[in-house]
Amino acid sequence: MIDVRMFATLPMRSATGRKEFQLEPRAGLTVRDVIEGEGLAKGEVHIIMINGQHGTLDSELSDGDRVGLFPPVGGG
Amino acid sequence: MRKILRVDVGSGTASFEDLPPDLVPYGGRALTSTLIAREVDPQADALGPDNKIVFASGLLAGTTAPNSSRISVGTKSPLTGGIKEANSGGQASGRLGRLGIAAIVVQGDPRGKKWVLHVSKDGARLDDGAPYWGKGNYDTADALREAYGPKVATIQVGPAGEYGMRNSSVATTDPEGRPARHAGRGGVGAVMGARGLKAIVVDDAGTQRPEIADPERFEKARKTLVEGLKTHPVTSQGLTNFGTAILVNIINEAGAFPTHNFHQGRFDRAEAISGETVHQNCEDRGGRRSHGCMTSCVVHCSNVYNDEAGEYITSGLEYETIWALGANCDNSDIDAIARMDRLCDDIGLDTIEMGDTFGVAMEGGLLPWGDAGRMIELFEEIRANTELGQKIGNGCGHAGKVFGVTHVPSVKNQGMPAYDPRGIKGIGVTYATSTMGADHTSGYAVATNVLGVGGSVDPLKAEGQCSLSQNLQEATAGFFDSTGLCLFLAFAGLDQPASLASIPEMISAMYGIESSVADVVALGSKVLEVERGFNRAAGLTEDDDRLPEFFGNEPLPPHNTVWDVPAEQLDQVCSWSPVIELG
Ligand code: SF4
Repeated sequence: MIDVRMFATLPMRSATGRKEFQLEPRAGLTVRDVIEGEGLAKGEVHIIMINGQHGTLDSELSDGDRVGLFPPVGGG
Repeated sequence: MRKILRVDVGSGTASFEDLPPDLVPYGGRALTSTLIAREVDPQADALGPDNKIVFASGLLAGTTAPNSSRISVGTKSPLTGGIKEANSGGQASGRLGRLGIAAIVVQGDPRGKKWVLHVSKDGARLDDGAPYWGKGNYDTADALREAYGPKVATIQVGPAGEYGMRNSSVATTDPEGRPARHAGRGGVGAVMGARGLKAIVVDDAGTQRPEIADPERFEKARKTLVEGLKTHPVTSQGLTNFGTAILVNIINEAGAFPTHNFHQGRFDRAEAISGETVHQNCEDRGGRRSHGCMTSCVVHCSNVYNDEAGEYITSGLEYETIWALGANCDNSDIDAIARMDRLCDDIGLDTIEMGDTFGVAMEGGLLPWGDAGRMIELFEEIRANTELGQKIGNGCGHAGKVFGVTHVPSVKNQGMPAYDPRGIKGIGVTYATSTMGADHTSGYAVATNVLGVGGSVDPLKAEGQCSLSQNLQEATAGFFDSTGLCLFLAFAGLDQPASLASIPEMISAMYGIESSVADVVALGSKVLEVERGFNRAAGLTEDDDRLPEFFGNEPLPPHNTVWDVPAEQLDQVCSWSPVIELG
């Protein structure tokens, strides 16, 4: 399975409102598919983490991946 | 003409003098570091009578510029043994700006006397500080308002500073008068305490905003910056909605969230202490989010955190604090963290140094991991200056020696902030090479390594980190620490050239000079040069620009990376001693 977590404002802005969920892996599944699946508008997701490293919209996901999606965040 | 207020706690006098002509375009850190380098012997005992402490307002203090009221506190640090500039928000700096005071220099041997410095449009004088000595910061602020009027802003030390503890902060009051904003790092509170100075009361009644040479030009630049801040997603949404604690989840996801005294890069209970949780609690309990630590702020990253009954606990519950007293100590009780934040603010302790100290003390067996109840009790040992309190009130380096622990996350004896340098190597370069010791604000490479601001450099690789850190260190010293502007404006400034350019534009308009982006960066480099020179003369060497050994030997889960930025590269960032080839 693929673990997906949506942070900060993303669950409030998505169609499903989900914070944390699992996805069935399938060939060619990309981060873009996940974001569209949640009904998030283009540009809402600013940072994509896959297994703790930066990914892109086109990154393909495979079984066991941990995905974290973030809007623009900052602090210090 | 901005002035220097010189205060001698030996003779009990306070007098104004002109800024030396070459320091007229200097503010904040540029002013504190230059004055300390000129006036304090680098070999002086930091807590002895020859050290001085300088409080400087920023170049734009008191104006309508956004987020322009940071105050810089400069001295020789009793924690690092080098030069120190710690800055803080709050109201005091804006008021000093209105009073035309660029810097307050406090010097002399108080010989047991206790003072409160009162500054207003009618001048400055030292009053008896004995009635306030021994009080916590919250009681002190209340008592000072009672004595001097409800609207004064104050700068003060808590008991830790009075005792000369090496972990001790200088507090400033926020718009609601709470002493919740701290120049925390490097033990600056102990130097103020050693001068016998309990507090500075700043009364700006009857003053005007400082004069602006070209008001039209200033207003245009100010608008550009405000516009930039209102449109950049980090400064208009991220920080505003969730505060700095929003970083808990992302730094945890990135695997660089120091956990269990820097043994792991992820905390399995991060959600319980996340910005999302803090945000929810603020909403549910009648606290506040989107709070400003100063009236000129338009970003509002601060908050007001209440307990379940809706009673105020603390303000400005921030990422660094939540990490330090939370994940680093295996503690996921967010209300307990808020209480400890309040205790740090009241006793006058730096939350980062305190969290590092607890992590080391837990590793040494003083208390069980994650025992928030015991942590809270131990704060009272510090407040009472007991022997045990002294063991944990002098920083993590001291605690390491006392408890026989070598796994001490510090550089130049200053505890590390909330990013593991094995997981975010750019910030590791800043920790190693900053003149301040392990400090994240002096070159916040996290922005570019993780947050996708100001470009992108792979956090797990050594490549590119040294030049990134150096550029950020110079820009930070110039654009933010020396102007008195809040560093969080950098999130907009790194992505928006017009926002960055508006800063020298405002300075030019205010002082009737011509300053450019390049000039401000050059000033930043010059400040670092002055600080390096002081540190070298104080006895610090290349060996002090290194991370503790364990970072190079112990892989950090989940990425299992080690610290591997070569020493020769670090030495270039710092360029300690230019090699002069002879013959
Ligand atoms: S953004 Fe935060 S730290 Fe900066 S001035 Fe505003 S409240 Fe203070």
